[in-house]
Amino acid sequence: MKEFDLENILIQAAKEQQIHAPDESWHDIKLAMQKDKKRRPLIWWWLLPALLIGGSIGYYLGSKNKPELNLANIKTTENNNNKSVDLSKTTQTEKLNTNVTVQENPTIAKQESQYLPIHQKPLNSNLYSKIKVKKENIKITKTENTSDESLKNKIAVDINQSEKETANNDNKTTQINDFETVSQTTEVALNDSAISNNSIINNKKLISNSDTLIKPIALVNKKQTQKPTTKKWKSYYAASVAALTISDKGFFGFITQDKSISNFSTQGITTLSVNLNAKANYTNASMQQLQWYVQQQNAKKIQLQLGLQLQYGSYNAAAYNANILNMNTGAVVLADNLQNGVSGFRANNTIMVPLNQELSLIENKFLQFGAVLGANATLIKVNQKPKVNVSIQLVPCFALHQNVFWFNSNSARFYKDQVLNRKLNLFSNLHINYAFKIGKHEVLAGPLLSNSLISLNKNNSFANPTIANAFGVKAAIRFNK
Amino acid sequence: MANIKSIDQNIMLQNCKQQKEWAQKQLYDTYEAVLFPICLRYAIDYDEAKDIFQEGFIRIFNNIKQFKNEGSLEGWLRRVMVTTAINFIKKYRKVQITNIETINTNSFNSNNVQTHIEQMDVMQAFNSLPYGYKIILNLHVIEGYSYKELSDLLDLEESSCRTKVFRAKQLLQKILNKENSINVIVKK
Repeated sequence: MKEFDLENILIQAAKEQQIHAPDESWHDIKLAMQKDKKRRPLIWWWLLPALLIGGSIGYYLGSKNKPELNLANIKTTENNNNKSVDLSKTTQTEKLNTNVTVQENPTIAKQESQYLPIHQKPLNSNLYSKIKVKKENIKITKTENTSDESLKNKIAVDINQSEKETANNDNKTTQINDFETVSQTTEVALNDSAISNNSIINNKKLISNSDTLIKPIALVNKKQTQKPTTKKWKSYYAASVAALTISDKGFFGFITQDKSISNFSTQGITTLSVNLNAKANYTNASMQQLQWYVQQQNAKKIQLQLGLQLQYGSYNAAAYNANILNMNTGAVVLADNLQNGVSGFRANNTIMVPLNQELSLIENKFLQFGAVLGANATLIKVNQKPKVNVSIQLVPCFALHQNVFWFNSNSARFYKDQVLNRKLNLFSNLHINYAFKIGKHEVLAGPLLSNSLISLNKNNSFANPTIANAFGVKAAIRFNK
Repeated sequence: MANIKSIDQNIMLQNCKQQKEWAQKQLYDTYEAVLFPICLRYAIDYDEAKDIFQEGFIRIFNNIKQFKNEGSLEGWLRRVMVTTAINFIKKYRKVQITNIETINTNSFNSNNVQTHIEQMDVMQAFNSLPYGYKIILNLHVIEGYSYKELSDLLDLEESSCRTKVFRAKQLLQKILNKENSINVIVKK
C-alpha cells in the first residue's frame, strides 16, 4: 500500500487544472456588462434632487449679491414745439361760433417731451420697481378776446408743473416689470376721453374750458422694494401619516441586512414548500412624521426647505423557523424583501421561538431623527384654490431606537429584540401634494415615493448598498402661524 | 522575459482599469482556462458554472481598480471568482452542508482501478463527493480558507467546520482506497 499526501495532490490537481470556458462566454459577459451600464442611469436620477437644491441655493446666493436695482435708461427727446394751431375751421365754428386760435405757451412748449422711452433691464425677480410717472398737466383754457374785431378766441395752453398737480395724479402710477416703453402716445389723454397723440392739439377739434392735457414728462421716485412675504424664511410645523408598500426591488433600509454579521445564511430555504418570494415581497409599512422646517420662496415658484424630522414607523417582515431550514443553531432567518427575493439574515442572540412550519411575522418598529433638505415647486396655483406641489427631499436620519418583534405563531405573541439600533440612513423622498387650505392651516395629500439611498450600521459599514423603494400615500397637515 | 510579461500585464491592467475592451478581452483570454475550473468545482452543473463564471468576470472588471499590484493577479482573480461562487450559491441555491451525513459510495465508478494514484483520479474522486463536502474541501484545502473563515462564510461553528472537513477528507480517502486499493493519508 502506497501512501499519498491527499491534500497536496488535490491542491496540485486543482491548480493545474485548465478547462476552457465555452466560446460564447465572452459574448455573454460583454452583453451583461452593457446591461449593467444601462441600468446605471437610474442611479443618476437621484442626482436630480441634489442638483435642484444646489441650483436653488446657488441662485439664491447669486441673486443676493446683485445691485439693488438696475437703473432705467431713460432717453428723452425734447422737441421745441413752439407753434400756433389754427382752429379757424368750419367744424369748430359750430360750437364756438368764432374762429379760435390756439396758441401754446412758448415756455411750456420748450419743456414738452414727445417721447419718454424707458428701457429697463430685467429686474431681479425678488424685487420689483414701482415707477411713478410724474404727470404734467397742461391746462387748456379758452379766453375770448372781444377787443379784437376778428373775434378771435385765444386758447392759452398753460402747463402747470407744480407738484400739487402731480400729486393729483398719483393714481396714474405705472409699474414696469420688465421692458416697457412709455411714450406720450400711450399715456396722454384728454379728459374728454379723446386719446391724443403727439400732435394732440392739432388733432383736437373741439376744445372746451375744462380740457386738460395729461402727459408724462419724467420718471421720478424710482423705488426698490422687497417683495413682501417671499424673501423671509417662514417657519412651519407639519404632522403627517403615510401608508407605504415596500417593494421587492431592494431593501427598505430601516432595518437592513447587516453585512458585518458574516454568518448569515439562507441554507435550506429551498426545502420549504412555501413560496418565499411571494410571501416576502411587498411588505406594508406605515410612518408617522413630525416635521419642523423653514421655507423660503427662492425663485418664483420654488421654495427651499430646511428642517428637522422625527419619524416613527413600523413594518413587518417574514421569518422562518431555523429548524425547518436545517440550521444547527437556534436562529431565525429573516426572509426579508431583499434582492431576488430569497435572501436572509440571521440575527445573533435572538430569542428562538418554536415556530410552526409557517410564515411568521417580525414586526419592526423604529424611531429616527433626521434632517430635511428639500425643494418644493408649485406646479399649479390659482389664487386661493387648491394648488399642486412637487417636493423633493433628502433626509439623512439616525435611528434612535429600533425594536424587532419576533412573532411566535404558536403562542401568538411578539418577542422583542433590539438588534439593529443606531443606524444611519439616507432617504430621498418625492412627494406630489395636492394642497388646500382649511382655515388658517393647510392640508397636503398625495403620493409618496421614498428610497433608501444609504444605510450604515454603527460600524460604518454599508448595511446594504441596494437602493430600496417604498411607495404609497401620505397626508399631512401644515400649521401656519 | 518575466519583465516583459510583467510590463505587458501592467499595461493590460491599466487599460482594464480604464474599462478598455481590448484589455478586458486579453485578461479574459489569459485567465479563463484557470478560472473556469473553479466555477466547475463549485457549481452543481455546467450551466451553473457558466453563470458563476460570467458573474465572476463582471465582478472582476468592475472591481479591477481595487487590485493594487500587490501580490499575484491570478491569486486575486481566483479569490474574486471563489467569492462570487459562494455568493452565487447563497443567493440562488442553498447548500446542504449540514445534511451530508449519509453518503452513498456505491455510486462511484470503480472500473478504473490503478495501482498508483494520479491527479486525475483525485479530481475524479473529488468531483464524486457530495456537494456539501466538495464545497468545504474546495474552500479549505484548495483555496486555503481557514476554519475561522469557513465558519464565517458557511454559517457554521468553527468546530463543526473542522469536523466536516475531516469527514470530507475521510470520505475522499475512502473512495480512493476503494477504487485504487491504495492508502491515502488524511491529515487532521
